[in-house]
Amino acid sequence: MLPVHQAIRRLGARWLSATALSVTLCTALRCAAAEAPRFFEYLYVESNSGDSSGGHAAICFADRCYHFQQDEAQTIRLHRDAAEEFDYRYRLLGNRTIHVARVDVSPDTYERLRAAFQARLQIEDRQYDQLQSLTRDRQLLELIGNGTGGVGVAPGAIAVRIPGSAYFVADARDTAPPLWAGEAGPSGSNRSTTIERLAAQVRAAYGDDFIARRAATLRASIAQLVPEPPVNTLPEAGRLPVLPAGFATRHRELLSGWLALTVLRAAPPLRAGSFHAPTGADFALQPAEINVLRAAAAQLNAALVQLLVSERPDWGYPMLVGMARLMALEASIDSGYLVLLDDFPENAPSIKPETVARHTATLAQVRDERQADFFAARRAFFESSSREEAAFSALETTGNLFIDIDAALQQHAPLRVYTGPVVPTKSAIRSDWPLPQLSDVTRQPVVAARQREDAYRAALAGLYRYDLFSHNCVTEIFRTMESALTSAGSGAAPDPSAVRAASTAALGGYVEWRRTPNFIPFLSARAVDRAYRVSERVERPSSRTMKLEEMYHHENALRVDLRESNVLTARSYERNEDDPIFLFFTDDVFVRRPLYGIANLAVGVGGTLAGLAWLPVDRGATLRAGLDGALFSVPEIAFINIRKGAFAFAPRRWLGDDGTIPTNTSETGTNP
Amino acid sequence: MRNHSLCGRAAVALGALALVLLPACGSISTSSNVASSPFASSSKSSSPEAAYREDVSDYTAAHLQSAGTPDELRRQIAALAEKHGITDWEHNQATFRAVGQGLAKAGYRQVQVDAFKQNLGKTPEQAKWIQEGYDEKR
Repeated sequence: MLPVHQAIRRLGARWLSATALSVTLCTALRCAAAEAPRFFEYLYVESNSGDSSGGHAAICFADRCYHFQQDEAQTIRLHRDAAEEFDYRYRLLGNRTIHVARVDVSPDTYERLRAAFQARLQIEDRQYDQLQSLTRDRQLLELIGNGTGGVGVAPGAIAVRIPGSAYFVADARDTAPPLWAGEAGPSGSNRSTTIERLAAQVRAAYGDDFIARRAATLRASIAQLVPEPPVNTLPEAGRLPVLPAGFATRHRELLSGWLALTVLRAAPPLRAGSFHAPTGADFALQPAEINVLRAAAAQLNAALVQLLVSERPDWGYPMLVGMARLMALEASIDSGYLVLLDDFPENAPSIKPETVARHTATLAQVRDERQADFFAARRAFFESSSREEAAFSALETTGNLFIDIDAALQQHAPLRVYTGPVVPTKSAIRSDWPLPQLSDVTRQPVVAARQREDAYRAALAGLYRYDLFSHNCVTEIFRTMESALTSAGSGAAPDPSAVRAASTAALGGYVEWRRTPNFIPFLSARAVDRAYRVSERVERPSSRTMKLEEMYHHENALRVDLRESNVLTARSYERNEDDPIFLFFTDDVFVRRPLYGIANLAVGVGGTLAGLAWLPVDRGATLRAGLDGALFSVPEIAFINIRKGAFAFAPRRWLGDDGTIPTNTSETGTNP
Repeated sequence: MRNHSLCGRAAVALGALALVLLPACGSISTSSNVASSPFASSSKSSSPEAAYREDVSDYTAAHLQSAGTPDELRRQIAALAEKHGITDWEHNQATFRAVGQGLAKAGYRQVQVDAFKQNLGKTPEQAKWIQEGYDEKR
């Protein structure tokens, strides 16, 4: 038996050990939970004819994909797309299989990498915004100079864009006087009771003379606006430009505010053609929905009253859009049908009716999807308790897309192209907006503004120049990753051994991309696969591959093989006017590929000769298609496939719910 | 096996040679935008509000670290908000919470947050939202 003090000591030691063990276990468990691995995806997009014909690469964090694209100015620029949008564009429309390598990393590494790509995106976007600002400054100076006879620009050649103005103000070609020409605006029954009610509330809140006084102040500010002294700051790598708002930006902000107050005073109706008032069953409102719209209108009304005293320099734009939306809401409540602002920009490109007619069957499926999107957005808005503006914007945009495609299919109208904005930004096209009354605007300020603009543009081109070997969509991904892992600035050349060590620690290995063939997307994917800690490899098949698999599953294989081998009889392909001229598909065959390639080459040469004959008629479209057709046929003769055909239009459902094929081999086949 | 390996490598080399000569990295033709939808991903992706907050908090942190002005921050918040379907961001709680998170990302201390709230959070509600966002991320 132990002495008491030794027993106590041993007991204490055991207790301490047990406690220490418990603490250690708990800490380990907490650490394990906190440090659960995350992953990013490295994407290799197979080649195809057209842009990115050599393939493409991207890096994805959760549902956001970052990828670099070469643009018309021969620069390489970072873009970010939702993962589904990227998939839609490259795998579905582009008909390209995407190979995915999932790389396990710690949460800290994940966040460092994500933040680095996001930071680079923010910096580039702001730098290009700054270039646009310098361009608008120069254009505004030219417009002012034109008014004073200073710089000889043709009248009406430059228009100032005021987002949100088109809902109340006509374009310059309209012969009616502008809203601000008279004192009282529209008369009698033409005045909007909605805006008159809002104006009455504003006067009650801020005084009877608030609208007139504030409008006069803004008009005077516009007249007295002068350009800030030039700040000759050029873009720098890795540095977020934080510069004061430019001359044109400040003019636009003052003008938007003044115009909003003018609308409040004049209470015009919504301009014809700036909104949709469909009366189909899809837009009929239930009593409960009308009540929701009443509450939304009241909420918006109150917000607009407060917006007039906001410190936001750009309050004018949300005021214009808010008033237009308020009128649309009131019209919806009165009519029992959903009235929506037309939120396509005034310069939205469109697809010709003839093209729409050629793809009616496919576009009908797209229409059904847009209808489903509209119904989903409608449910989300009306069933939500909070009535957030983002949900209303979703309802508005999906409604616009649905109405537009319906009109294109049923009325043989052009189909407008959706280019991204999800809020109404339509501007009236005019050049007679109130302008700053600069005295003696001679050629010199315009020349100086142009020099600043040109210098900034040249600096951007130098910072982000595209180079096939050293600055392309692959190299920039690795360059950005390296700067994140070594915390090196974008301009600094990191120490090679430090880079290798950091990459090995964080990613499981290192990919040497400088002065190696790994700048090629196809080879970069193989290098990532071999070097990094890849936990899963997934192949997301192209849209045509998935269609063929479905056909083989249900039909006789030989029949499918023969029918789908060529563009004339294939049901898996719809002729796309942007595609080169070809006859046989070669991406799903190997032994026959050279024979098909020879046939394709002959067809391409024939198309080229036909294109020469049609040159005066089609401005070279057939010639280009023939030349491209011949070019992409040559590798096929050597068993190499690049061209796969692409789609001009496609419904999302062609991708299926989860069109993925897990692969756990690093061999990606001979189709680059 | 050896011949297959050699053939495979030769094919890869030829393919790589072909691809060197072709332009990579371009964008798919913009006509593809005709049928894409801004809400295609809404059914499967993370919350749109979470995406918006992440954008605003990231930008706020970067802006503050670059010593930007409050007016410029307001302008950029407005630009980000519009991309997410919001024009009146001053009545949007998520905006101010994201700004608060951005303050935490930028390493702001509470005394700096208090000063910042006076600049951007003009109502007690907005100031509260900023503080809540900061506390979440700190």
